[in-house]
Amino acid sequence: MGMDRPQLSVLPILFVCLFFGPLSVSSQKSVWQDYVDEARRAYIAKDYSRSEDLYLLAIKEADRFGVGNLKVAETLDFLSIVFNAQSANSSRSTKMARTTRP
Amino acid sequence: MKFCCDWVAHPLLKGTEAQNIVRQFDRYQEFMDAVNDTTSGQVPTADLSFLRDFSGVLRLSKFRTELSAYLRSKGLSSKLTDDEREWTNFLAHYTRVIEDCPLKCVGHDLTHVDEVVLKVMDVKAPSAGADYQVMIDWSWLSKKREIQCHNVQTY
Repeated sequence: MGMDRPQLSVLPILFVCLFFGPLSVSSQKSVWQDYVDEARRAYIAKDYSRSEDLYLLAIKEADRFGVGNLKVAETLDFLSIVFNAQSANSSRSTKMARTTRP
Repeated sequence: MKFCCDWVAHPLLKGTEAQNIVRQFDRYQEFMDAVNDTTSGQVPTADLSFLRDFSGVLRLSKFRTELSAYLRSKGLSSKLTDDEREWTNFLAHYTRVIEDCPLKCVGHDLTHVDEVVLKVMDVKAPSAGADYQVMIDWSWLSKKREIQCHNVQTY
């Protein structure tokens, strides 16, 4: 009989974990996905600075998913592409400035 | 390329190549700590210049470029490294050799990371629907956060 009470008291906690646990993970994923989608749009629009900021925010979100998740690595790959595009772009701009200088 | 050749034969690397890899992870961990120190919604300010070399290490693209140059220098076809599917197939065969042999790279006098361990997590046969063929886990201990960190890459 004494064993029944603790088991019953665990039930509401179990319910909260089962119900809200996946919700919380899915809302984290949704925040991450929103940042990534917006960053991609900014990248396509060649707004590399904004894209970089959004990927940085996405990395912070991805880091919260925990050990072994692929999202940090995935986001880092995107960020690296944006960083290289931005570097190439600024190097092109510098070259342009040099060649157009009187 | 030397690093990837060494992986086949040695479980512990302390040479220049290994130290260079640990140094990359040291800078990456510094970046991740900066990301972690910002509040949610605030854009982390970090020096991203490490990404130029770091992604080459993580994606094994440096290995790919050097192997391609080596094959060409010997008058051999570089299709293996030039074609995406061929390259992934090669990686799958390569990782089968090293899959039971986690590699530990040891650095020297670094602030955030002392060593990095590479481990092959999964190798799949090529198939049309597969999202990856090879999965490698790069793991290290963050000295500041005192937690085991991972970066899992798929190829």
